[in-house]
Amino acid sequence: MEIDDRELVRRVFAGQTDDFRTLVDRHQQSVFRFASGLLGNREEAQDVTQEAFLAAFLNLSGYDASRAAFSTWLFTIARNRCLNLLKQRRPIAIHKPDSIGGVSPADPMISQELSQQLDRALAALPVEQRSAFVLAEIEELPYAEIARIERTSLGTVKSRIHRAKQRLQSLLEPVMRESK
Amino acid sequence: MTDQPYEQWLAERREVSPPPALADQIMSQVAELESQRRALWWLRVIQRIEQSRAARWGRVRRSASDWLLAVCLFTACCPVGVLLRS
Repeated sequence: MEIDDRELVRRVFAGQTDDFRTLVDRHQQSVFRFASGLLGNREEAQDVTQEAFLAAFLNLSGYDASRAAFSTWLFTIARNRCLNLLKQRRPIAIHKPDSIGGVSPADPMISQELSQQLDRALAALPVEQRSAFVLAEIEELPYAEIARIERTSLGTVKSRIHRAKQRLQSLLEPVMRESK
Repeated sequence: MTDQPYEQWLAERREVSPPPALADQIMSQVAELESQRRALWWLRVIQRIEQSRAARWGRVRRSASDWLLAVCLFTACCPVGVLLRS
């Protein structure tokens, strides 16, 4: 029988620190994916994931299981770390990804190029839209949970995701037209 | 957003995995933090003992000095009293 997060947190808090590994194994992939989507960089995503888990371990006494799931709390920590990192970064000149025409997604090489274009488009989104989009589309979290992580209203989350999708769709449209 | 290239890109992003050694790295740092925390706990215990001993010693020292002062005053005043009575 799988032990739930709440029980694992209780055990770690009681001194059974080895049980923290189960929490790490259970959530590292989703936290890494989220950080990766938000930062667009594997090494930084690895650092953020590591820092998020260490911060969670150090501040475990501050976690209130009655208010949020452990994963929500962890995502909130990771999100804050990512935002701090993005603030520290120098503004990177991103090529305006408005033109991705002339490619056909059927070709694997071109498909890869398209994937990179979409990555660039994601990186060009405002950070709030990017974060909400990654949590919704890549992590497939419910909107209510995203609202808790983003500390905003459900309406705002929906609007951010909608705008992010619109933007990505507008970038994808020329490609689709070309391929038809 | 049901277009195939987008779905393919999304599927690729959902498959992104952290490096295999990441969990071990995190747990070794957790173990380090835990040993530091234990060391700190012992340090605090020792500090408390030291502080309480010092406080006790301080109290003893204060009462000893009070007692010494009383003796000095008594011995200083006693001959005067004896002289006055005589």
